[in-house]
Amino acid sequence: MSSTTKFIVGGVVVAVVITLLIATSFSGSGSDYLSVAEVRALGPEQARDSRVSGAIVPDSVEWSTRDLHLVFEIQDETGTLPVSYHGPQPDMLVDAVEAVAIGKYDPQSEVFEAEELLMKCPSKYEEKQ
Amino acid sequence: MVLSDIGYGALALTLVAALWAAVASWLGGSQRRPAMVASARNALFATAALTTLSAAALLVLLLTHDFQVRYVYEHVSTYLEVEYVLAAFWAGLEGSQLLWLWMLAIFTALLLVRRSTWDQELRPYAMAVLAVTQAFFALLLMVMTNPFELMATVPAEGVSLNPLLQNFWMIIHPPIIFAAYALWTIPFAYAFAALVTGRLDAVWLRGIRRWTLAAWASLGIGILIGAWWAYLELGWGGYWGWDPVENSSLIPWLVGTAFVHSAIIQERRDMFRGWNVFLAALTFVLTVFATFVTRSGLIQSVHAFAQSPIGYYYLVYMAAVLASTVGLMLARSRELQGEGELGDLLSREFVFLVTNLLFLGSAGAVLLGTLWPTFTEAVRGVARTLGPEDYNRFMGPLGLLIVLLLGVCPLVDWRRIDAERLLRSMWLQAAVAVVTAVLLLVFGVRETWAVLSFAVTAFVGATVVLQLAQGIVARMRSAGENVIVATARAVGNNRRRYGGQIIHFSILLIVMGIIGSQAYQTEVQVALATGESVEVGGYTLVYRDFIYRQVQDDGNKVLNQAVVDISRSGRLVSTVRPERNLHSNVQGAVSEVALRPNLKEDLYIVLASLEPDGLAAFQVLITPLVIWLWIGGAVLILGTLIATWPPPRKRS
Repeated sequence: MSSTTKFIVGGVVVAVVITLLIATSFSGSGSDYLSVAEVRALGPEQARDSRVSGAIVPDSVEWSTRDLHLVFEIQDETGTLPVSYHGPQPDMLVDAVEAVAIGKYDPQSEVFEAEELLMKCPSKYEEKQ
Repeated sequence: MVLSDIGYGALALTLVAALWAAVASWLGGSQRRPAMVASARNALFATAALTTLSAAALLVLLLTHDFQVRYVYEHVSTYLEVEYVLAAFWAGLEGSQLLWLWMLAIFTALLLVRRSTWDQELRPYAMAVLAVTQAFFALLLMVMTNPFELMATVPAEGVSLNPLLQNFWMIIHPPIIFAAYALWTIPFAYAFAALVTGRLDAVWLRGIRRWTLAAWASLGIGILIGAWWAYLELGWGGYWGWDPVENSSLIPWLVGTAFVHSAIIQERRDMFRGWNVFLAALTFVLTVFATFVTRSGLIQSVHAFAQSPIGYYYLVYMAAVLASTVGLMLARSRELQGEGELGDLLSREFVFLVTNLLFLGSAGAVLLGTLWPTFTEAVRGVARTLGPEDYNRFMGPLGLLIVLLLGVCPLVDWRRIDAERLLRSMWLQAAVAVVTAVLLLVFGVRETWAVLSFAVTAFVGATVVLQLAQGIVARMRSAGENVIVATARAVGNNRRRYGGQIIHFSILLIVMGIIGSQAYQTEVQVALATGESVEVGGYTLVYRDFIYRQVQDDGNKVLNQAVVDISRSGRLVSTVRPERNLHSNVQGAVSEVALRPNLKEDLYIVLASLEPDGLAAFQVLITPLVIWLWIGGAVLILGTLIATWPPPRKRS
């Protein structure tokens, strides 16, 4: 076997190993982007994290400094969803701003338990609408 | 004539001059007419002057608050501090595009100041590539992203800059990133010229080595500064969130790193000719892709930049660059055969190849992860987004393998590995790694991956330190010099080698910071009334007082500040003031974190909320070793300076 062939075979083997590593970490990971209605349709057996976004319903934000607990509702064209979050209030949390919540839906309490909250503030990096 | 017309007119003239430069340099090269090449060179000096004029016009408009200009209205106000006018220059799409073009024109001019020597044959075509790229940006600025656009009315006051962008980092981060993007055009231009002329030996790589290293280092530093900024300003205690915008700058850096390394193989062994040309083109395309990602709206990002159809123009440009490069590569397939014979499969060449594949694999994986929501939405109708832990699952092992090879590579011989010699040269490093692992276990570190990662880092660190020490010790012995003289002379005579090793050492410091901060962050969330205290990781935090004040002269800000005393074993070490402020030009509160860093760990305090009666919620984070990321960045700059410093002039 010539050196070139050896290099190509060796390179391909390494490339395949790297690709397999990446492929196995991709399969089954990540969170699905769902609408409010889709989240509400999730059954108790759905263990996977999902992400859901919507505008913060005006006057729905309740914050307890004592417990660092945040409750609010988000709304998209398919409905409204109560969201609960334990932790510091994210910056720029105000009515009507688009919020992205990542976490799990609890069908019993009908509340989305967020582990992470992101504000998609349109003016975050630019002053444009 | 008003200033905005001057700025716009300068852009129009830039377009004309760049187009002329492209045609003249190409024809001058292919028909061997030096006069035309000289004319193109002058035209490219003109574009440097014209874009400088255009940038100066925008800066003056911003400084003089000419609110009729839409960009000025949207980014400054009369109460914005003057130093943030610079940040406002590149805060928006239009300004950042102008910055990119300006940097590209300046670097092109710097490249051309020296008359051609080694690149007599290549230069005309490289100039044509640079000129076409300048023309592309100038055209986009004129028709799509005009920073000099006027509004029908003149508002009395501007919107001003977002408070998140009013900081030192916004002044330095974007110019460094855009300088890096502009610099990566130069390796591509010469790769393209090498393809056109068929001069595909290592001459082009050797000739532009300093430009390549400058591009590589600025991109790395730009990314690190971005991480530092996120850490200090965004108030979540992290520095990297695998957001598409962050990823899009990391991807070209990873491919560029592969290029920097395989270029060495071509210089030494005349292998990987086609591979190098392709990597140079790919890195350049990926810098354009980075802007495409942020502007096209194709990818969901919390950064939420204003979107614009400009993304699709980038897509066309990227496709044209890749298609023409691959087309020329097919036409030049014979010249792309290197003369260097391959060594054994177990050789340093092969280790370099594996490193290259790991870098490209990482870049491909991050790219796939970035596009994953778009792909999954197209295929199954539901977008699936990867979280940071998903990225860490593949980037952790890939990164650790790269670091391991960094330590093994210098011990492996070219052409073929002498297994016995390799084992003999590894025992000391192996011992250091084992001792590190044992010490970590003794001190209670239990996570397998953390112990393994630190052991690998220690192994590689020992290799790098030994390599650095060898030459110095040899000089001290043979020439009887003291440590300082021996170090200065050894490094001075071997800048490239020592620079490279210092860069590798800096990467290890950064890796150490990443492992420490990822493995052992402590977080406490607590609500305190004034006078109450909390214990976190050996620190006692006393919430002493709070301040609530309207600040009129600073963009109408409401200051909400907590005063916290930090003490350790009964001794007061510091008083910090985390803030959570309201600004008139942004909705909601904006946090200013309080940070107390040291070499071992950072204490990071966020004021999560402040009630009128003084009840305050705090988030307290202790992150070990995070400071080594930034120290590593400083060492990286030092290593790059040493590696690129011009050699001393030879005495005649």
